[in-house]
Amino acid sequence: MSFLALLGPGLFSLTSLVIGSRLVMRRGEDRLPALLIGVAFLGGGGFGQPLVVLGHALERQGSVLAVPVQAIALVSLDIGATALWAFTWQVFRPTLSWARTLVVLAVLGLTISLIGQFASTRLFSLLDGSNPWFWLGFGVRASSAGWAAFESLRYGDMMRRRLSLGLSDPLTTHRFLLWGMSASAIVLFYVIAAVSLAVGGPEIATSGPVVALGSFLGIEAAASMWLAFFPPGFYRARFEPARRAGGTEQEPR
Amino acid sequence: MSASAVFELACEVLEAESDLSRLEARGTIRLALKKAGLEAHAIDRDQMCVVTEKILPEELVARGIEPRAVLPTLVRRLRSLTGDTSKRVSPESIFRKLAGDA
Repeated sequence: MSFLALLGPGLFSLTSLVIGSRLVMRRGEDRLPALLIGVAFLGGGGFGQPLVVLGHALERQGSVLAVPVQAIALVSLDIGATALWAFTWQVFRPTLSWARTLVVLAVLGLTISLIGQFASTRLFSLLDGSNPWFWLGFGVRASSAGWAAFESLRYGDMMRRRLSLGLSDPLTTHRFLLWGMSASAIVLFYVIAAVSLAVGGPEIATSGPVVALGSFLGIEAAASMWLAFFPPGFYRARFEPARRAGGTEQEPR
Repeated sequence: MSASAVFELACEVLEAESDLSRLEARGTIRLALKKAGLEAHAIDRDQMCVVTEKILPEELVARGIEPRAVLPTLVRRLRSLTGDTSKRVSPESIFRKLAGDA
């Protein structure tokens, strides 16, 4: 079970680290979206998630390093979530004032949550369901993935309708579905964690079925992310016939 | 959110060339755009031309309007538009760049 517990989250973290680094280092014009999504991957899956796991392990061992590691994990997760909020706004709703307000409120929520957790008596209890400040940050982080999933799947649906008119490219259309699936998997992971914590605390979170489901979601999120942002040659080749036909053929399944 | 110049032009022509009211003309174009997976604020000239040729005829017939009475003028006016008619960088162009396709 320990291998399974590490497989999905490990793969997700590794993929986030590699893709995030490549996107952050990208040069050229209009690099803000690449920078934002890169920071989101690095802050969330790349560093935040592994540090949360490490923080828990250290806490169980009673190590004095538990608190600082969990503090860094929290800050890292919040930076990643802020970047994801900003990415979704900039890509899908750049001119809308309500979207900008939403991002400002999210940053405010994360900041208040962080201050609240710093100030609370049970410092950095990342999986402490009795701490309201924990749930504020948790909710805002989960919502960042939720909004990303919603916007990407909505736009992907629009792109699919354009396909039959020859107004969109099949490979790019599929990217929205992939990113939507990856973000949806992250949301589900948050939901499972929330239910586990609400029902039975950290013991439930480490139980077999929850670990298996979490691992599956980690693998799904990593694979979709990889195919969406760095599609390999064989994957691109699947869309070539439809591309040559001017985007009027059905996507491969 | 303000609509694109292309959308405004299409509505203006449809209203002038048919007996549809301003509101009805805008609604008809918006419905056609929705069916095509496009948005009024982001549509460019070439996309509107495709919608005009492939989606709009059906919408006009459904409203008792003869497409040939409207579409030639609409297509001509759209094609007379020059310059960059798209208002912003689209999500698809961003995703293409992110994946290194641009």
